[in-house]
Amino acid sequence: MNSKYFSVFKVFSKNAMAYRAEIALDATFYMLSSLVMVIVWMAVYHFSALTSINGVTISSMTIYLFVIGSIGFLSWPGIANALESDMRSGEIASSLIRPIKYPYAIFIRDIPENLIFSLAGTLPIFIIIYVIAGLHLTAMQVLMLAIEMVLAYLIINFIGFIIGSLAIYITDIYGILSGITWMFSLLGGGIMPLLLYPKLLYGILMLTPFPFLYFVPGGTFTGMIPAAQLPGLVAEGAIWALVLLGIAVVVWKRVSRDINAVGV
Amino acid sequence: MPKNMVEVRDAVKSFKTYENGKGFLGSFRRKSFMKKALKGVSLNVKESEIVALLGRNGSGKSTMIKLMSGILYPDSGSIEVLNMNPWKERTKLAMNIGVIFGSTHPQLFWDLPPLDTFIYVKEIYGIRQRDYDSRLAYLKKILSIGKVYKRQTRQLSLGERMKCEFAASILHMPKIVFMDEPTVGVDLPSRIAISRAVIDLREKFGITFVLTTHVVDDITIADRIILLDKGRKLFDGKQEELKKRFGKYAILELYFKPGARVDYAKYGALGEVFSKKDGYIGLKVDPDITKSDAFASIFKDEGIEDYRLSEPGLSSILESTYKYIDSNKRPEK
Repeated sequence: MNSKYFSVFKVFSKNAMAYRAEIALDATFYMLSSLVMVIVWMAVYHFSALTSINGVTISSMTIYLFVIGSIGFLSWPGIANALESDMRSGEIASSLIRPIKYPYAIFIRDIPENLIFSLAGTLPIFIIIYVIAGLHLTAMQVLMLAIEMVLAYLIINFIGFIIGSLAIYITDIYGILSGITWMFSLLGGGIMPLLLYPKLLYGILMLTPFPFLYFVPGGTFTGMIPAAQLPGLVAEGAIWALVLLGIAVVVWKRVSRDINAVGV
Repeated sequence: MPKNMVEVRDAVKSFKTYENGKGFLGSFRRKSFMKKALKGVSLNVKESEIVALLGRNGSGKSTMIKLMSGILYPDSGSIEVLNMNPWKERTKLAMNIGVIFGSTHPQLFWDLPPLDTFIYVKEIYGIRQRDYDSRLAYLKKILSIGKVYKRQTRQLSLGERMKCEFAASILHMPKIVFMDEPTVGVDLPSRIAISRAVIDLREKFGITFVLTTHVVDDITIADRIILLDKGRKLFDGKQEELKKRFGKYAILELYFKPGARVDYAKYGALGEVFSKKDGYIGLKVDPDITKSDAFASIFKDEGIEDYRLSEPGLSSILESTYKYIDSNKRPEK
């Protein structure tokens, strides 16, 4: 990484560390949403008297829901909020006077907070689930999982960057962002594993970037996705990340000409 | 002859803005229109100059600063800063300029001490450790921030923060510094410290400064004044020239004895009354009033205790200038 951008990373890491306790608390409370989903699914399994739905048992469902709950930092594109806030308040001006490229800087400045979230929240929960559930992952699966998480982070933030750029035209993107993240959750396996969807829909969704946000990492961790499919999925995720990056670059080129940091 | 650091030719900049209709329902009927913030402004700034960009709110000062620092681009016209196109070569230009946006767009990290911002600046501008140490020592001394720069920014007063903002914009020793209302709401000692630092930096390092301000004390350090109004340049020259053009009057202040009956109408005939209180009248009068009979007659009034005749101050001249503009008698460009 260029030393300038490493400096951006360092200073925002220090800034995020000022809120480390709050971020860790966020991560813990985020898990509560998983608990709600687990209770809902327990009721479904109980009243339907089924032990397995399309091969998914209540125990694997519970593990899956806790796993995707613990990767909550992949479910909300914080970069979109940062862009919106910078443009709405005009603070983008303070960034543009520095000898750094704004899109790089805004992307990097969001990483430390997510790292703290993942180290203080996701990692311990992964370990606890791994031990309690008695899961067995090979070194290759762990590696694939790590790559998938990075790809998921890139995908959600490239999408976030594209949506966040709209803030220059419509100022308040919260509604759009909320709707889109709900859609991601539904189409990406944030509410239930995609295996429960009709086969045709499952096949179509697996060709989109959405499963990389929930189902691919969750399915890798729980073993719902066979290990043999993982390299192919990783390659597909990388292609999606590149495509979204390309779109983000084109969008930014257009948007950056329209920046109106009016008044002080 | 000093070289041009900034060269602006016929800069035009418009923004799309909105206006609501009248009443509650009017908020649903929003009209959009293009507002011209700058209507063909040309100016230049020479090396080591201190130039004050003045004008009322909405006159185009901030837009001009943003155009010169590469944040905005002009609709038409051309801008060159240090022989660079600010918009096209923004990151390259940023290495050579400093920008301060008052207290509204801070550069300091709110949850960290200013020292962390200084270190960040050192790293992104590639300042050598030795230079950083000596510059920081100099800025700590001249701005009196030695006791505050290691405290969390959120705990500092506005004056302390602005001095640290100033230091963060100077650490890389830019060739030119743009300051957009740097002292709004700042206490007097901090304002004086910043003004002294500006003068010292110009003298010692030849740094050029362009500042926008509404604070008269800040203007007094400027070599040249550029006055903008409604997106047009109305005046470009030294303070003395502004005085010559818009300050062709003297200030006559009359002090009356306690309990004296004051005929305000009589004294009001001497000139334009700008202040009237118990036992006091302030007037703008003809500078040659001392030669008039009316002036001589003042001393026949036993109620007068004292008087003072002086040249108008800068704030008075600016007020007269704005009045002149509002009366639609536009001075030549």
